Amino acid sequence: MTEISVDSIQRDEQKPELSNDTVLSVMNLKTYFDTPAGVVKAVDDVSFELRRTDILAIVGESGSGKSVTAQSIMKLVAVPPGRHAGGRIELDSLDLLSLNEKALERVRGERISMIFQNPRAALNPSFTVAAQMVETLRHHDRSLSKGEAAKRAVTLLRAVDFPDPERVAASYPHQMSGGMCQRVGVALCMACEPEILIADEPTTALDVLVQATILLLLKRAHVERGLPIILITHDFGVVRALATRVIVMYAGKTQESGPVEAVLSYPQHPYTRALIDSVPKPDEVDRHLYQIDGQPPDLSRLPSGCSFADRCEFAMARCRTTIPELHRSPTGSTVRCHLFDDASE
Amino acid sequence: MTQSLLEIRSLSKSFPIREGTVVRRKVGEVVAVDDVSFDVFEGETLGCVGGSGSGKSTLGRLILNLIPADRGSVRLDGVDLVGLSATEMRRYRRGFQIVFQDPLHSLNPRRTVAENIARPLLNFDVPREEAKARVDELLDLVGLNPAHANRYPHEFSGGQCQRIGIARALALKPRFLFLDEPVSALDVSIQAQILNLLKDLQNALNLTYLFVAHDLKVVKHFSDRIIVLYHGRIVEIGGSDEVYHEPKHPYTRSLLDSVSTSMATTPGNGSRNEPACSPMTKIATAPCAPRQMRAPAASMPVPAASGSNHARRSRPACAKRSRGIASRATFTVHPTTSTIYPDNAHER
Repeated sequence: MTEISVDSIQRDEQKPELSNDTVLSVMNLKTYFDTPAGVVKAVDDVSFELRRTDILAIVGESGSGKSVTAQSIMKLVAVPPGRHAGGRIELDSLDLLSLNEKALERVRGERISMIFQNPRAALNPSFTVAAQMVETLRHHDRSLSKGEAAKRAVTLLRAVDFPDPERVAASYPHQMSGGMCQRVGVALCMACEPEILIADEPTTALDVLVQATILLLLKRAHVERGLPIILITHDFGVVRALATRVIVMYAGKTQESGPVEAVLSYPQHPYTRALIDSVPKPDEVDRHLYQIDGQPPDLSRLPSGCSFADRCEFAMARCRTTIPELHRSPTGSTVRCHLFDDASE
Repeated sequence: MTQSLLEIRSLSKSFPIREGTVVRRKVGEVVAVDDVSFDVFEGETLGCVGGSGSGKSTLGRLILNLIPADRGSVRLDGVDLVGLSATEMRRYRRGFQIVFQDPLHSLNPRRTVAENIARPLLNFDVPREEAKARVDELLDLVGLNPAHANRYPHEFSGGQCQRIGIARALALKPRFLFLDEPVSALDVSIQAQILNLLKDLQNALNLTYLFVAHDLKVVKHFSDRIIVLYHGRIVEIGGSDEVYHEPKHPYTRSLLDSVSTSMATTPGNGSRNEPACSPMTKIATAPCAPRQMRAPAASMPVPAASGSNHARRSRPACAKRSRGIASRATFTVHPTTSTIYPDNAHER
């Protein structure tokens, strides 16, 4: 219980809404991997709450722990080498991490569904789209006949803007483009009318034009069905276009979180700031981009202080010795940085 | 006035679609690059954008003569590279190198970094001692520690592997680099490092780049001029500012609309009060590049030669504009007019 104090500030801020609006709460989540090189702390003390009206974006570079966070919620992390090292995940006061496989079946797909990064790999190459959708639908609703399930599959495909859903239903994944596969993925996710959608880099593998159509589908699901979404991405453009709140992760820890507007327009954490600055701006005349020198740290050998200290231009002595706490910033976001130590005292 | 390094004229390539298990009958073809003409100027960065399947990578590979072209010519110092035999081509290979998209998989995993970089040198009979010295020099040039030369590629991160790939491409002191999505697989912070490195190298070594990427912001930032490919044809070509800020072709516009959301990462970039999703609704119905099965020639508009100021700045190929213009043969005169670009910046 001692761990909870670390995130006390964030906790206090969100407590009032916990009763009415929160659908999913992640508290001090820790997911570690035991590797020959040592313990890799992929997710290290991450807390957030997903409200009914949220599209919550989790942003970060590769290795920041954003995907493992999503996988932990669905309990998809392979054990071993993965290990749940602490924290709780609650879905309407149901403790997800304590559930056994059988109980999880009723959560995965039915209450929380997930869209994956590589749409083609997420589908089975040896079965038609219809066969896969019918299987999913009947798995979750045993009373459904094959014919009814097939009809429902076509309805679902039409809902993701396929002009000819019957033809798509009869196709194999290799006969479709990446964008079409991802739309089938979205349709599959909606099959059981979940309460939460997790989209793990849904547009990374896609063309810019196709990207927009997928984002639009997600937005529509959010607006029309009131579906809260957790969006994992590394693209600030996608965050700006879709999300309402954002969490910036680095080396397994939340570095900054808050409303999209505050975090993207007035980034407080040096890492968030550097990350946004290193994206090319179309109107910039200077050809030299702002660059963050160095590499993200090795997660099995994290420094004793702030994990960004080595690359940070504002690093001070205490940054290298103590891990900063979360602080409220003047813009309304929550920041893990020693620069804000004094402000909160 | 800048000089043309490469003159590309009516370059075309199509790939057959075959069916049948025993007798592979040709049942159709995919036109990957269709009658493309442009110039690449000495020392410039020519950006190339388009949806997937628009022929960007094929175009680069055709220029490097890695795959044989069906028709057309690629002229370097008056010599047509298309149709040269492998032995004849070897003389020119040194000057043309490529940097690949996937940094790790483009390196030989069983050879050390030094061996990977020295490979092109040894291939061109550079003595071993000399090659070794050059490898150290190259590692230093791309910002890696020469002491790590005996490590294997898997010991490096993606960004470092891309630096190794760049060092290898520079080994033979080329004049021209084809950068095939060199930063697409990298994280934002590493992407900035690599783009800055490439810019510095270009200034120091007077390199000419053909830069392919799918991220329009990156292409705009990095390139002097941009060509937009759609269905294997150039639909627009012009200075990067003009193509980005005043796109003439509807396809370019739809590409830009799809990133306009991503542009808004700058603080104080306006558009605060708009609903978050509004820029995207416009392009929900925009044409995405499907697999082109022999696009009928007549229906595909080509850049119009109107001779006006407008055409000199950036030439769209749009049905509206080319109506009444007799044939697409007019396009062959264009690559030379694009020399106007470096000067016309002041016109605007």
